[in-house]
Amino acid sequence: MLELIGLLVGLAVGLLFPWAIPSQYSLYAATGLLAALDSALGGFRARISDEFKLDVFLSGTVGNAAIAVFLTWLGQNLGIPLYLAAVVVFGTRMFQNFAEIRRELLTSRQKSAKINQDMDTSEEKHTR
Amino acid sequence: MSKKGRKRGQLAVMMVCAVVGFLLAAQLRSVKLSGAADATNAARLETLQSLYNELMDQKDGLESQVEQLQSELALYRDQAASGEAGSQALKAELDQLEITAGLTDVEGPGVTVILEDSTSSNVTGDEADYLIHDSDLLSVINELRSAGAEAISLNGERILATSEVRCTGAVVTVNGRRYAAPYIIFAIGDPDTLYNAMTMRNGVADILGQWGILVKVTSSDLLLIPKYNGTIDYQYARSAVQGEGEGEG
Repeated sequence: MLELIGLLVGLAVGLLFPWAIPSQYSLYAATGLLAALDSALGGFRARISDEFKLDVFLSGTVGNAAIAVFLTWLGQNLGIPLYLAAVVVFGTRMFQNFAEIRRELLTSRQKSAKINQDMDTSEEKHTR
Repeated sequence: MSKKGRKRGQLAVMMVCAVVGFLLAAQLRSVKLSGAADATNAARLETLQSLYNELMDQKDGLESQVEQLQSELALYRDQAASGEAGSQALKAELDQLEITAGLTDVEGPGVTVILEDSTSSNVTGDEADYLIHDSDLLSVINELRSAGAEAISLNGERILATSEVRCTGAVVTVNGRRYAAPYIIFAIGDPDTLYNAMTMRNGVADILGQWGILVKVTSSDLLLIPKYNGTIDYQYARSAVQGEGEGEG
């Protein structure tokens, strides 16, 4: 829930911000955005599966964004669209993270359903 | 995991989500803005095109206006001529001055000079060496004037005292209109003198011919040179009053 609130706050701030990203930095902002999106999804997944570690999360966020922006810069100077590497990697990881989040949520629901069922059956046993 | 650590983690993810939202919104806005800039460019192009068309229409209108005014002028002149005997002299002078000013069609013997871009193969590596430039045309015109040409036209455009001959890209602008090769120059004057002036050794035609530029000079018995069909508007120059000013002479 908090993630959604954070996203909405960020969107609102971004929309109301009086300063637009200059077009020559648009690519950097886009790769940085992808890195942040990947980190956010990864963090969410880690929190769901209870593997979350703050230092890992923060270092990953900052490091990934820095490398993505650096790759973009390097690619622009070398004349090779290196930012595509970041796009592909983050894109793949986003799908992976999403898949894990999905499984986690679905199985946890199944688990809870099973628990409820067990409880129901035990209750039935008790009442019997 | 401790409860405090959990809380901090949640906050961190929320912060990153906020960053994602911010970047997303900012990026969307900037992309939308640059798209709008493209649209403005297209709109600007359209505006300029319509402005150009409008101005061309205006120019056509003004040219027809000039024609009308000139016919009015002719009417006045006829009236003046039919009036008094003394005005006959004035009319003769007016005719003379009109030829000089290029305000009337003139005909007479003279030469035709045709210049075409070089067809010979390029050996210096510079394409510009083999094309006709404004300086070439000017030297031809200058030579013709020096040989006593009384009226000159370039591709049908009367050369006046104020006419420019100037390269504008691949074409040459004369009297504000653009002309491309081949350039056909009519000059009215003594055909023999003009012909010799053109074709003399080390003359203009000779030098241009060395670059492979085709120069064809033919003398004719009757050439027709049209009048200048624009307006001459003096903004700064005016007739000086006799005896006024110290800087005369």
